[in-house]
Amino acid sequence: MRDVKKIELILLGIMVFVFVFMSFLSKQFLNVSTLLQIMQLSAELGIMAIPMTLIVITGGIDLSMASTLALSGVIMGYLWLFGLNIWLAAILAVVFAGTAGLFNAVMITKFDIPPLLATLGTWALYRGMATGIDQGRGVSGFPQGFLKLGEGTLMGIPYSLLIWATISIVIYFIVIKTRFGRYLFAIGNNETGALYSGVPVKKIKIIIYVLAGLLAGLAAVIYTSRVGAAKSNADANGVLGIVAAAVLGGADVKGGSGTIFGTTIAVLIIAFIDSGLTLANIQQTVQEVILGIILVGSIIFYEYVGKSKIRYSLTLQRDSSEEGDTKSSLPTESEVNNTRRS
Amino acid sequence: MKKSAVVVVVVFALLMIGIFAFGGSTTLTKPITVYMVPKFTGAPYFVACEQGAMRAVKELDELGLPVKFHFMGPSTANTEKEIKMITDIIALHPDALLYSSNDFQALIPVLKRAKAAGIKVVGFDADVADPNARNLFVNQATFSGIGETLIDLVARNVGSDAGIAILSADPNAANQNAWIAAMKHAIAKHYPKMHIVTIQYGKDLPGPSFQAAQTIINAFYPKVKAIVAITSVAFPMAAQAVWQAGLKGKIYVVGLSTPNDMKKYVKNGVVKDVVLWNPINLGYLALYAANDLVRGMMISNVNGTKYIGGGKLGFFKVGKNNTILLGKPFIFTAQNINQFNF
Repeated sequence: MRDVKKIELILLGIMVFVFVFMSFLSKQFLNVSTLLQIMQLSAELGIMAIPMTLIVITGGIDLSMASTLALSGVIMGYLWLFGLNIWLAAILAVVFAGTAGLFNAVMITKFDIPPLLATLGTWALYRGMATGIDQGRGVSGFPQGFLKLGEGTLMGIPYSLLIWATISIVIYFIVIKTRFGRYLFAIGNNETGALYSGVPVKKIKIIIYVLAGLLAGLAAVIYTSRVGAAKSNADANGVLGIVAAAVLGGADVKGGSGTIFGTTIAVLIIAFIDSGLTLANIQQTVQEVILGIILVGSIIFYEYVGKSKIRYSLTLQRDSSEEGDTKSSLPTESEVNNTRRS
Repeated sequence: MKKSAVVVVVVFALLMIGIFAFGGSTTLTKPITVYMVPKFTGAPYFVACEQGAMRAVKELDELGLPVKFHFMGPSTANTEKEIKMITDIIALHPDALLYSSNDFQALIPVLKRAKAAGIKVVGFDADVADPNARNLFVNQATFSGIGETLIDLVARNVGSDAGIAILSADPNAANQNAWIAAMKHAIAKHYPKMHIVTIQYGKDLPGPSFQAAQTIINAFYPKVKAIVAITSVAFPMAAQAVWQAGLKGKIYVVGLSTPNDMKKYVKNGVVKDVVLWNPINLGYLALYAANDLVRGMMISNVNGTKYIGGGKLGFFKVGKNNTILLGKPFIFTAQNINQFNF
């Protein structure tokens, strides 16, 4: 268990520090339109990092998301090219991406393949399919109305940023307020224990991997309209950024910890470092080194200093008493003490 | 809103600093700022482009036309990072942007935004599909130029009636197919007795390319007097196969590749000529073109044809789609190959 509150506060502190530091480093940084643009370019990463966080909380991982983005983008492009309405094509692409997520979920829940291996397989499979369909040609020339989605703004705020913010807030509250949210942590802390105490483990897992697919599909639509082209090489290597955001955000790859707020702040930290240093004419190689140091530092910190002082069993007790639900399907204190991992 | 008030105050303060810092200095020629964004940094090829650009910067400085030059690019060939970087560079309002695009479609929106912001946008090495997205493109070589140079070399070395074999990448590779078409055209036009005996494909992979070269040697020598390998992977493999078969000097191997990949075979005599272009001159000309555009130093004659002054390289006619051509392909031989490191 990690002390999520502490981690969120630390991350906020880092973000403020990075923000102030970059403002001093480059005078162009502290400019509303520059900042909005920096954040807009991170919208797809931010959207995909949300389901990644949920998955990491359960102790899983989804390496296929960026490939799903590429594949569903290409499918949308070709559906449109064959005469379909662009918005219908976009909806179908998102549905298809959900199916791609469902395929991951089936492998993981039905055939008990570890998520790392299952999604490593589809990481290659989906990218390969995208390349096979597209063969490097790319689809472009989308209607102006569709391109608005990626470039347009509402009261000065880019649409993609609004979509990202909405999804973040909704899922943030789902995680902290609902039973579904607590089940995620229960699975991550002790999957067997959760299963025996009635947590619908498979159902929860199917939901989060399908959600990962759906949101990768949504990210594909935003990406395609932003760059004005559907490409099989879209977001190549993007998965590393998604995992990095979730991990920097405090999600524990061993399962049981993670926060949507932290992940979202982490995406912004990464974006501010990236752009701030470019604006200060500092080479990208330096940017990567700095990002690497922050990542390694934060992981060490989370492992040794960010540990929660609250005992796991007490947390659960508090949860069930708050809900006042006597039929709560969470494990009892003694069960947890017998089987808990840390 | 307190926060926005703070932002406004800070932005205002920075503006004032800016006015005081730059408003006072009125030298005769204000320095211009030019950013050069390669596909990725660290590759010897792009280091050579940078060297060329720096040479031009130095010359222009000596002429009293100072240039503030920045060379910044993604650390790996990555479309998303290049888009991000150019977005950040737009916020810096340079006078000119030189790009080599990782993607012929996905960079169009961001380049258009740069152009709309009043930045002179000049492509080099790799263009985008829409000529309206930039002001000028410096083309390193045309397909017909490459095709003719290769066929001329074959004719000069093994006779104008030789049978030749082509070693390409993949039947769908667009560039390679265009070069093959250009070679066929050159043969029909200048050497009607020359004939293409076979076209083999090595998938742009060392192993299959080597096997394809062996197939040519085993099945078609001595009917085939020359192998033309038109990918940088296939060319060294073809040279290796000819060397291992003990046919050095019996089969003429020529093709497209970079000097570093071919030095070994030029040294041992299997290969006499390596065809490509000179990236130092490419970077040099691109920088001169940017300077000419920003400072309005283009020359136009009575018919409305415009010319770019390319420093020591002479003048370049601005052709269709605002493109200028660096010139004939460059031939690396035993005499000059060691001067190049890319």
